[in-house]
Amino acid sequence: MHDAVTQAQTIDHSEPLPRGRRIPEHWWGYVLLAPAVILVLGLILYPVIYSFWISLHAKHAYLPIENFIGLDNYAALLDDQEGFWRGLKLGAIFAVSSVGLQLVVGVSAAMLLNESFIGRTFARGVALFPYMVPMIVVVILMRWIFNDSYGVLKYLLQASGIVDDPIVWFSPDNVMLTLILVSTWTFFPFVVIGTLARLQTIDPELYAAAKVDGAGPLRRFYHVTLPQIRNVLFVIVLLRFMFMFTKFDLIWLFAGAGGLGYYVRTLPIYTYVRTFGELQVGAGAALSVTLFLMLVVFSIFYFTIFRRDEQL
Amino acid sequence: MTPTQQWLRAGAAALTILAAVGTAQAADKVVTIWHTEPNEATKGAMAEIIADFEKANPGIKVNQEAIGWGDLDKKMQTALATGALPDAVHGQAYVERSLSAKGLLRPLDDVVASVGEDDIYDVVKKLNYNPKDGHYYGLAHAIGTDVTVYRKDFYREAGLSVDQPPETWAEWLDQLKKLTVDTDGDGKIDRYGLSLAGPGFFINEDLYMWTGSNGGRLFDEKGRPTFTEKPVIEVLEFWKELADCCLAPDWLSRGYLDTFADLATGKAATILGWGRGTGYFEKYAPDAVAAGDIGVFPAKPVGPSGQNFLTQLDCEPWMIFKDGQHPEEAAAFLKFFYQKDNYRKYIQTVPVHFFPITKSLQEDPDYLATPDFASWKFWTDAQRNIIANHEPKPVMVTEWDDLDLPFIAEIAGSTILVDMVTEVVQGGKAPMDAAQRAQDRAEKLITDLGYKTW
Repeated sequence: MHDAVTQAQTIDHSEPLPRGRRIPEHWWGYVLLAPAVILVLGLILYPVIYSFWISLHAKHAYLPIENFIGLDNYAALLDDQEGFWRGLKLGAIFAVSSVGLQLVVGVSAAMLLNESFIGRTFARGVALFPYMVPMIVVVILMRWIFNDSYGVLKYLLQASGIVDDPIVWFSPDNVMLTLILVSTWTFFPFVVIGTLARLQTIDPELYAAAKVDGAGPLRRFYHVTLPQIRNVLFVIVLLRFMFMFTKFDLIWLFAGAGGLGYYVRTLPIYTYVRTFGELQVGAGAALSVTLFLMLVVFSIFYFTIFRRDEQL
Repeated sequence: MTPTQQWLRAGAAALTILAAVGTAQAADKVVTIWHTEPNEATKGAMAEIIADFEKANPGIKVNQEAIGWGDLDKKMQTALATGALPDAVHGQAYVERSLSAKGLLRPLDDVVASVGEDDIYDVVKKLNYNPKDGHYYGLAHAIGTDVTVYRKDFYREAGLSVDQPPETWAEWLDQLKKLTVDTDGDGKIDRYGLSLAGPGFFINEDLYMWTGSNGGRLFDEKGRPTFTEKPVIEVLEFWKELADCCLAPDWLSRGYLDTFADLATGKAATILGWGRGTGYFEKYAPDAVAAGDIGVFPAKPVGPSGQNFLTQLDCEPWMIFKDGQHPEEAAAFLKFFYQKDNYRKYIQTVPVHFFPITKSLQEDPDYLATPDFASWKFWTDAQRNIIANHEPKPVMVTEWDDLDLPFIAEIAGSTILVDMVTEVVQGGKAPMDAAQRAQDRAEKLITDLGYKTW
């Protein structure tokens, strides 16, 4: 009985379907991929394309005003010294400085946490804490800590004799530095996670061999650790730079757009002002598309450099 | 009965109930209102008024949504862009004129008539009446004015009068310099004469008030910005002097509530503020309140080119969207809202900040018996003097016809004016250079928006 059924099934499968109903085998691949492709197109490509389309218009945020103006919004950016170019410069200063500090602090912390000591697991958990705190809480906490009248930082700096007069952290001269320090504290755990994971996979024999060759801690770091974590750092730098260059919430919550915000008005903040303050959606879309293209170009450039270095 | 049959019966019963509920709900007209008073007391009073209204008007339901004041504009933009409009909403005065010019609002003449046109303060009528077509398109839910709040004890310490407000900016600067002191003798200033809020909105506020107090305006009769004219330049010079002598170095980072904290804790001797802050003083400076050391000047100083001072009128109007779901029912609700007992209930939730729009309520014994007035009646009296005699105007409006300018929201939302002030006061830029840049930016923005008329 069992043999008969098996035989029948085999025969059924071997028989070709009528020509009109047959679906070619490779089409099934497309059919199965379709939901994912539609999702990607709908959620990622459509907004980008729509933003680009809007950027070709003089469009009001809510009034029915929408005129096609071609690339005028982009041309206007070239002459926008105080808005666009200044925002680009401030954004680059913020992103490069912040990512640089995050790398230094993050890699140092990861190396420390890779060593064996009592309480290491607890220390690893604590190190990740800043990354888990919601941004609004970070801002409120830091506003207290950095307050020049009653902040704990003022007390520590004065009690330790480092400064005589309190530093006004939220003055026009210092607000950029303050934001860089706060962003470093908040985001360095991201570097720790990636770096620590890679450090744990480095073969200890490499260090042993380096020691035998007489390499000190610095040379071991430079010749063993750094080459081993290089690929991870490449990805971390790329991601962190993109995140920091487009950072909005931290800067907005600390400084807003006007007053103190004038001194840290990066491109994302400027884009918001153009879109929701001046109600110029077309101009705001041109800024966001430009921001997007800059990051694409940066990524391509970055990958090219990295690949070239890999081949050397 | 099998389990399957039981489930089927239960499902059918549930569907029947849901259908019945749905039919009942469909019979109600649901009026959606957005207001900008998310504090619990006001929401509670609104809930009571709504319950009474629904009881008196079967078939009409009212849903209130309390929105943070700072979020209102964004939410309105989204509603307008998508067409998902509420029925009645609070808004800025210049938004009311802009929306009515676009034909989006239902006239509120019948609501005004039900309140009693003669009973409404003149500033409210000027604000909400559109002389071009002779209709009211809004009606303020309450009013209030920005006032100079000060610590009498600090003024006395500095040898200054606690009753006579400064009449000119020069006099005010002299006072503020005397109030900027080192209180503990360590050679460092720890109390400043004045604390100003630094966020952009508040800089816009101070700029237009001081320009108006200096005999100037921000836009001429054709709508062209007037930032490079003498009154504005003098404001910038005054502001620079003020910052150099009498404001804390971090004043740009001071939020509005921070300024109240400064006054309460003795870090500043004077602030510019609104009546809602009284609760803040009661909480953080109870001794000063008990000693009667919090004071409010009933007038503000004028600039060298000015004759009369200008201060801000807080006056968010109720508006009804013509194309909302139930505009007539929304109007019926507003008429009910302004009925004396209901309106008093609403006003008494924030009694010092909410100044009633009707003169008659000012004489109402129940209103006068508001418990908060035992400590703060002087604040309300100062507001009454300003509202009755000094024509306060809404933000960014230095002349009443500015309300017709269609680009006020965009200029206020931009950073043009804020940057001008910041560049001069903090950046050390020459006032005329900063003003010229602001003028160019504003003219470009107005041109880009298609509103250039000069």
